[in-house]
Amino acid sequence: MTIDVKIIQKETIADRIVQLVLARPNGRDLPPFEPGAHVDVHIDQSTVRQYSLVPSGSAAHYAIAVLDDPNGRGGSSKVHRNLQVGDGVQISEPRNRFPLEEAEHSILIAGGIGITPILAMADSLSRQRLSFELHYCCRAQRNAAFYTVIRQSPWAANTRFYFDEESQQFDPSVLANASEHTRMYVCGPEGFIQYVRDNAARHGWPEHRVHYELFQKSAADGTGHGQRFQLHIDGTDQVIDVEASETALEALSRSGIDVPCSCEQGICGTCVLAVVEGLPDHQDMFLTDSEKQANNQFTPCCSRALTPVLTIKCDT
Amino acid sequence: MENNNKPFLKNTWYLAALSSEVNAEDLMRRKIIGESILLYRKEDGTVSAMHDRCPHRFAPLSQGKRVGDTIVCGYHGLTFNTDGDCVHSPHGNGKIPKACQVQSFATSEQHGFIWIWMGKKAEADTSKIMDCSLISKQPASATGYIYMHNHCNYQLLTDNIMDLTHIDHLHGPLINTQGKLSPLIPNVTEIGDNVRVRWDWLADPCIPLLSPHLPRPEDDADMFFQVEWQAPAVMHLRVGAVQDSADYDNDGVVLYDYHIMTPETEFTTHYFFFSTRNYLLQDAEYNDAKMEGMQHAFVDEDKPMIEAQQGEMGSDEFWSLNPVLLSSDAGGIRVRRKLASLIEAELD
Repeated sequence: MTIDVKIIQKETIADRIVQLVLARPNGRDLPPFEPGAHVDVHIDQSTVRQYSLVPSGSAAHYAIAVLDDPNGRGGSSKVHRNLQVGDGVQISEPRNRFPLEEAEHSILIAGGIGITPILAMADSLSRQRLSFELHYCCRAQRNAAFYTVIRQSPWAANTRFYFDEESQQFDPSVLANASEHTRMYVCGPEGFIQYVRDNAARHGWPEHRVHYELFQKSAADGTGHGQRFQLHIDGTDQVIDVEASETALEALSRSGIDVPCSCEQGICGTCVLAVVEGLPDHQDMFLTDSEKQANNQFTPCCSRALTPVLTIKCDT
Repeated sequence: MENNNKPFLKNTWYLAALSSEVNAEDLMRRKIIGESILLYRKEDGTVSAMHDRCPHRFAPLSQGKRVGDTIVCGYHGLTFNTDGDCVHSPHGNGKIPKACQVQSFATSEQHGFIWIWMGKKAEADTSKIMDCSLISKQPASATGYIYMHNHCNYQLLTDNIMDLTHIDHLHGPLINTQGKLSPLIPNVTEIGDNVRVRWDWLADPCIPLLSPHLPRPEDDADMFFQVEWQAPAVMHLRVGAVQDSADYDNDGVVLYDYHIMTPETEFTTHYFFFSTRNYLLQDAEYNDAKMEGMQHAFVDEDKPMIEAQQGEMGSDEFWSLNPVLLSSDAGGIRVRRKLASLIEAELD
């Protein structure tokens, strides 16, 4: 279900990052959301993108922050160029694929625009007087969205900034010696998340305490369509193009590979295929969180790829 | 019937009875996951649970009598203590065979509920019981209880709560959600081993069960359903409606329900339902009317459908029938998989 909202504020808050504040036309409260939640924003008829909600200070407002990424797929550029104060847009209800869980201490780690869900988490943890620390990595201070907000927050002392241009590297040793009651939340570019996850594993973190969300989603509209990618059939030379407007299952079928399927929407798991190489972009609701994080299987009916090629096992 | 389903989870807490069902005098028999259980209240007030079967000729011990905290079998007079050890035999020279023992089970009584751990007694961990303290904190005029005996596998009843889109179709006007739920993709999240499913929508108007208690009963309202499932079949359901706010608990009207299923056998289930709310806490008359409405929905609408569904499935296992699944099944399927993996792990 979608919600009609109006853009009531648009403001540049860092280099190439704008913040939009959204409200219902009648000003009534929007559905509550949990820290880590996102909404789908219908930028125009053919473009839907997901943005994490940041604290807006009002139950009647949602706030999102959008980076104009020259290497992106263009959705965020459209937000920067085309959406103006007063425009109406449709959004989804908030959904949370990145929920906070109970912990004695939480380590929040943000890379660049990945700060958005992390900011909501920090705000929530601080309000509940729960123990946490935030590590925020950016190219430079001018790229750091919410830099001032964080510096002026009650939890400024829990935060460390790392600016590449000032040769401040994130120090993975902060992950060492964490108790088993600590959880970690990471959001940022794929390589950044991988770096943090690798270091967490090195410091003995079990996967179930390392939570992460990639902010670059290749399939954002829940239809199984999205960015073009390729399927390589393991043990063969066969490479199949999955076009933006078709599902992986459709592309396989078009190439004469029939994968048994039933619900075709990521519920039943009938079509699950083993993934040998590449990172799937899991869009299904069948696999459990730990199965998704293992990245060794995916549902071709609705899931796609975060890497240009996904090598899969299937009978040809 | 032939058993094609998975075995039951053993190392887990099942709701055995209400505190009020187990008194200081009587011996109570209740079958749980296919095993007959004798429940009785010891002199110190705690509840003892053991297999309701004398190891001699398999007479139900519940047909014997209590002598202090011991149970004397009504058939040939063997006496057992609360740990299930035979402590007296009137036969021959009175020697007690080593094997003369009844399996006993750990219990935990809290907030009016008696839970039983059907696995190894030493592994019983009371911290794993779902917190149902809310019910005991509320006045009697705001709480209700319904017990149902259902002729179906307990997982069909779990599926029914995890996929609440059936309220669009199966239920009468009091709680019918007017087709609003079915188009939604439910939000499914895992919290440790628990699974949570949630629907949020704009109801126009709110369901009649709640709408009279909103500031503007005729107007639209934000609504949500949220179910948190815990193994084996313990579910906390919250149903809320609110206007002009996002704070359901403080500004809206919310029902806090517990749907707890305890398998009796493979194809019969004890279904315990408890309900409370955050409005009209002192209104006993409203409470009665509300519980009557819910009883009607469960007994006259859910129960016949689910029992007929089981009848159609016979003794076949769910997956073996190749069910066609819909978006609304996301939560229920996740739960079935979680439970199956917990049972698998126990078998290893």
